[in-house]
Parts: sequence; C-alpha cells; structure tokens
Amino acid sequence: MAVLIRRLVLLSLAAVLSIAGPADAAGLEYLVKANFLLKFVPFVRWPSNALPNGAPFVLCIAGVDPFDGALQALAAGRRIDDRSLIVRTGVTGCNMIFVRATPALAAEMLAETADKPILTVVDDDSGSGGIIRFRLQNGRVRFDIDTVRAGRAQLELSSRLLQSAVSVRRGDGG
Amino acid sequence: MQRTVVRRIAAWTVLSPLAIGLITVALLGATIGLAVYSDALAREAGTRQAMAQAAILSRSLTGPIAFDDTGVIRENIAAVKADPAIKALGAYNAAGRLLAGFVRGAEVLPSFSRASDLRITDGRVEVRRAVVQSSTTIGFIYLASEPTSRNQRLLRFTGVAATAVLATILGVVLAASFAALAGTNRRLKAEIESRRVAEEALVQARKMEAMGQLTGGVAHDFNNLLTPIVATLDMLQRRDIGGPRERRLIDAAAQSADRARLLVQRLLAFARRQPLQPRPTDLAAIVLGMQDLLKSTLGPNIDIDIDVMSDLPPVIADANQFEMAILNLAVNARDAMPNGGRLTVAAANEEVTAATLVDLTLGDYVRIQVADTGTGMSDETLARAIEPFYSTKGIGKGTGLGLSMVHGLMNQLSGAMSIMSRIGEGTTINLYLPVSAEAAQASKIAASPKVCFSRAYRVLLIDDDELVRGAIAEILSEAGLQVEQIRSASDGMERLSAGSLPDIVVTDHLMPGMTGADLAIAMRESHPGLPVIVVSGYAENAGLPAGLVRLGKPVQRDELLLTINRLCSGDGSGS
Repeated sequence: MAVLIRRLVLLSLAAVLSIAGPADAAGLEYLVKANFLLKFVPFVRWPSNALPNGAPFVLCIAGVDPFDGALQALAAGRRIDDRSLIVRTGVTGCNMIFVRATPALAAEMLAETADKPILTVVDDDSGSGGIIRFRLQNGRVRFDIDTVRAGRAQLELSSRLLQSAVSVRRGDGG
Repeated sequence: MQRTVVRRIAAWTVLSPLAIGLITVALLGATIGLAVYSDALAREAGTRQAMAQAAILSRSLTGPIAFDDTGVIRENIAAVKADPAIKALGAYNAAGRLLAGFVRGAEVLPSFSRASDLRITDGRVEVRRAVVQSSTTIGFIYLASEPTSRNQRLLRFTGVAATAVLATILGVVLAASFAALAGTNRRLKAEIESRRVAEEALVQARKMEAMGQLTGGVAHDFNNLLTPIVATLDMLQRRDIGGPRERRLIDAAAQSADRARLLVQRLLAFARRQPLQPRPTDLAAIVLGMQDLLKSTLGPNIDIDIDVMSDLPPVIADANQFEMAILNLAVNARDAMPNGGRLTVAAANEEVTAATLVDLTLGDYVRIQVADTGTGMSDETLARAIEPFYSTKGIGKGTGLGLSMVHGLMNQLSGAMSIMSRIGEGTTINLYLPVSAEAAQASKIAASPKVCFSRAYRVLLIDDDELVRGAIAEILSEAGLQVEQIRSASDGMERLSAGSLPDIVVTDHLMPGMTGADLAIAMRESHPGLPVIVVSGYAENAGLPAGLVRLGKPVQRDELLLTINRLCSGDGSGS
C-alpha cells in the first residue's frame, strides 16, 4: 500500500518536473533529490578558508550511489559562484557530502566530517546524522535541517532554506 | 466722485474680456496639466508598486521555487491576487517551467521567462524578475499589472473635461455679465452726456432769453426816444436852419442818430422784435440768386459751393431778412478764412425728430447749411457766439451782432440756428426754417439770371451831396459794378435820354430841384422796366409814393447790394 502511494506521488512529481529520465519511480525520486542537492548550495555559506579562491566545489557521494549518473549529468558544466563543480564518490576533500547508507554506517561516516565545514546531507533512510536530511512528506521530497550541526560546521544557512524545511532543529540549548 | 466711479467701471470693462479669457485658458491649462501629471504620477507609482511586489515575491518565493514547494508558492500568489491591479502573476523555476500563477480576463502567462526586464506600455506594467540566491538563478517571477484601470483613467479625464466645460461656461457667463455691465455703463454715460448737453442748452437758452428781453426792452424804448430826435434833426436839415457851422453840427447829429437807429434795428432783430413779413418763400431761388453777391463779397481766394436741392419745398420766411442773414454768415466765414478756403451753402429737406440736436417742434423743415473751412471757434467762443456785442473781430471791425441777429431771426420765424465748430476745422452753421403748407409766391427769378456784380452791370448814381455819392459809389465799385455819378435828378433825366441806358438807377431823394421820387415816377413813364432805388432819410417816407424801392439813410452796404441783387434778378417791383 505504502509502495503504491509512493509510486503515485512520484509519478505526479515527474509530471511537475517533466525532466526526461527513466520512468522508474525510484529514478524519479533521486532525480528530484539530485536537483535539491545542487539547489541547496546557493542557500549555504561556507567559511572562506574552506573554499579558497579558484578551488572547485566538490560534492561527494558517500555510501551507495542511488543517482544512476543523474547527479553527474545535472552537474555537468554547472558552476557554483565561478567555481567548477566536481561530483565524485568518497568522503575526503569534500565541501558537501550526500550520504546514503545504513544508519550505522552513515553515522560512522558522518562522525569523520563532524565539525568540518562540510554540508552533510543524508538520505531519508540513512539515519539522522547530517545537517540536512531528506524526507518524504505527502509523497513529496522535503527535508529537515539541523542548525546546531550547521553551526558546528561553521556553515551559515539562509533563512529561506530554513523556511522550506519541514522541520528545523534550532541550536540554543539543543 | 461720480466720474471717477464711471471711469473705474470703464477701465474694468475694457480689461475684463481679456482677463476672463486669460483666466479661463489658465484654468483649463492647469486642470489638463494636473490631470496629465497625476496620470503620470499614478503610472509611475503603479510601476514602482509592481516592481516592489515582484521583488518581494522573488525573495519570499526563493526557497519554495528552489525546492518545488508549490503549496507555499500558491499561498503567496493567492495573497497577491487580492490586489485587483495585478492582472497576471507567474512563478517559474530555473528551467522556465511555470510552477504556479494566475491570470485575470484575457491575460496569458508567458510560457517561459528568460531575463529580468521591465516593459511599460499604455497603462500596463510587466515585470520579469529573476529569483536569485547567491548569484544562482533559482527561477523567475512574471507580474503584469495595470495600476490604473481604464475606468479610473476614464474617470480622471472625464473629471478634467467636466472642469474644462465648467471653466468655459464660467468664462462665458462672466464675459456676458461684463458685456452687459459695459452696455449699461455706455448707456449711463450717454445719458449723463445728453443731460449735460441739455442742461447747458437750457442755461444758454435762458441766458439768451434774458438778454433778448433786456435788449428788446431797451431797444424798443430807445427807438421811441430816437424817433422824435431823428424827425427833429431831419426837419432842421430840410429847413436849412442856421449858418454853415450850425448845419454841419446838425448833419453830424443826424448821422449819429441814423447810426443809433441802425443799432436799434439790429438789437430788435436779435430780440425778435423786428417787423417781419413772413410768407411762403422759395429759399432755393434766394440762395441761387445770391451767388454773384456772395462771390463779390468773399473775394477771389474763397471758393463757393452752392448745393441746393432742386425740389426744395417753400418755407415760412422773410426773404429780405433771410438774405441778410446769409450775407452775415458769409461775411463771418470770409473773416474766418483770411488765407482763402471754401464756403459751402447747402439747402435740403430735413425732418426734425427727437434725435435732431436742435430745439424745435417736430416736423418738416428746410435746413440751410453755411459751412466754411476757416479757423473755427474755441468752445468758449462757441458758447458765447450768439450773445449780442460778443465779437472776436477786434474793436471797430465788427458789431458783434451778426450771429445774434441771425439767431433772433430764426427764432422769430419759428426756426432755429445751430453752430458746430472746432478750432482748425472750420465752422458749420445750420439754419432750420419750417416748411410752408402753401406754395411760395411766384418766384420772380428770370429763367437765365443776369450776371450782376460785374463791370458789365452799370449803375447810374444820382446824389447832390458829393461825400454821400462818393461813399455809395465806392461800395458799388468795390462790389464790382460800373458806376456813373450824376449830381442832380434833372441831369439824370438828361443822361437817360442821351447815351446808353444803365442797368439800374440809384438816386437820393431830397435834392435841389427834382426829388428822387419825382425822378422815379418820371422814369416809369419814359423807361418802364428800368429799376430805380430811392435812398431817403427816416422822416421822408411820408411823402413817397407807394411802389417805389426805397432804402433808408445812411445807406448800408449789405442792404444796398441785396436790393440791387434782387432787382437785377428780376424782382423789379420791390418788396
């Protein structure tokens, strides 16, 4: 039943996005997520030492790569603030990491990046360790934000990003 | 005070049409300018408002567009939709795909938006604004707004048009009321002026009336006193009383008495008490008959223009006195034109109505106009012109009675005299005489009048007194006549039987031997048709036979010439 609903929602999402791609429902979901990943970037400000002038912006995929090349395709030729954009797997030398793994494995990977100026995004089924966590709400791809972790990572998140989040964990005292 | 007010009103009425026009135009211009300006302001404000709305939307929709949060986008758009000025609104993602939006009426949302731009057309603003986050274009906002609807603009310009129409109506009404005021003012001024003229005329008439009564009374009594003096002196002269010295004294006294008598006559004329014989008279014949006399009186430097209507009706007048009046006016005109000029004598019908500026009973008149091109009179002179003894000709040159006599004559004949004159523009005198119901007594003007007052017209002048004869001869010669002088009546009869006949005989009455009257009677037998003028003293009339043409002593130039003129023109029977 849940699977059926999920498929229907994704079909409607596909209609909204109307981006050519596989008719596969899971493929559509990750197409949206790939888009979101790239869209997060303008709403986040990295400390200047984390992104020296001229250095490329590195987006890493950790754990399982669910995009089937869609993320690479979207990133191809795109620039972020006059930086070239590199998408690769792994967890080192990244400005942003997308983690898809079992919660335990994900937590392990995220522990390494904690307190570094790295925007961490975890998939909805990969635990809750990242700054941003995808979630599905009413069949749509949404996300939660943890500003405490973002603060530790010295990242500034735009309030507009926070507005679009389903839930925000705020820092004071938490 | 009254005049000042009138003048102020006049100044207003001159200023006002221009002022009203300017005010109306200014009002119209201001209203139109204000409307155009407020329209432009409203558009500008609308444009700014549309841009601001687009800017606010792009900020608040940045996240929702980026993350496809169409619910939030719709909520925002629905909030904006409350503004009726916004006709279309669309939110697009970076790929140009419409996420949400609305349109009103026939609006169409563009399928994609490429760049930020602003398009302002007639009353409509279109904003395309990129939604940007950290220099990354997230999507676009399209907003079409009509800040001032057609109805609003229509209302605004209808208001202007209504104001313009009202301003115009106001201007027209004001102009009309000012015109009415100006008209009233003109009538008021005319009335004041006519009242002033009437008052002046009344004062003048009263003055003349008073003068006439005084003069007439004095002259009448003085004439009565003069009669025995003249008669006595005449008797003394005839009886040859005293020696040569006494006779000279008596002659001098008699001459003075004659002058006094003449003066009394003139005063009586002014006072309208002279004996007149008014009867239907043909003025055209008289005026035309005076042509030669006028020429000789005025001299060669003055042109004469006689313009008499051919079918002039007869008037009630005394022909002799009328001639005298014309001659008087002509002499005045001559004196006013020392360097020559033109004298016009015209006669025409005139119906006197209430509008005619003379004080006359309404009815039909003949107007005789005597106009010169001379120096004219000042207002002061004009006001006193008909007063007796008022003269501008200098002591000894005029009696100051000429116009007075004419004025008196006209009044006595139920006519009137008016004088129009201006310094440098000459003088025009109009005489009005009432038209007679009866026909004029047979005009005795010959079909082709003889040429009088030329060398071809010969006068036989008979008088035993050499001084008197010489004086008369000089008058005649001066008038252009050829004069032959004879010392006694018997010599005169001899002269007539021998040699060529003269055209007229002028003879003294009392002469040694044959008297002038005897000569005249004898001539009727021997030379019927030859006119004779007998000059006699005041007291001699009793002995004169009827039907003779008689002149009183001392001989007056005008009287003599007019009598000759009349006889020359054919009226041989005398009057």
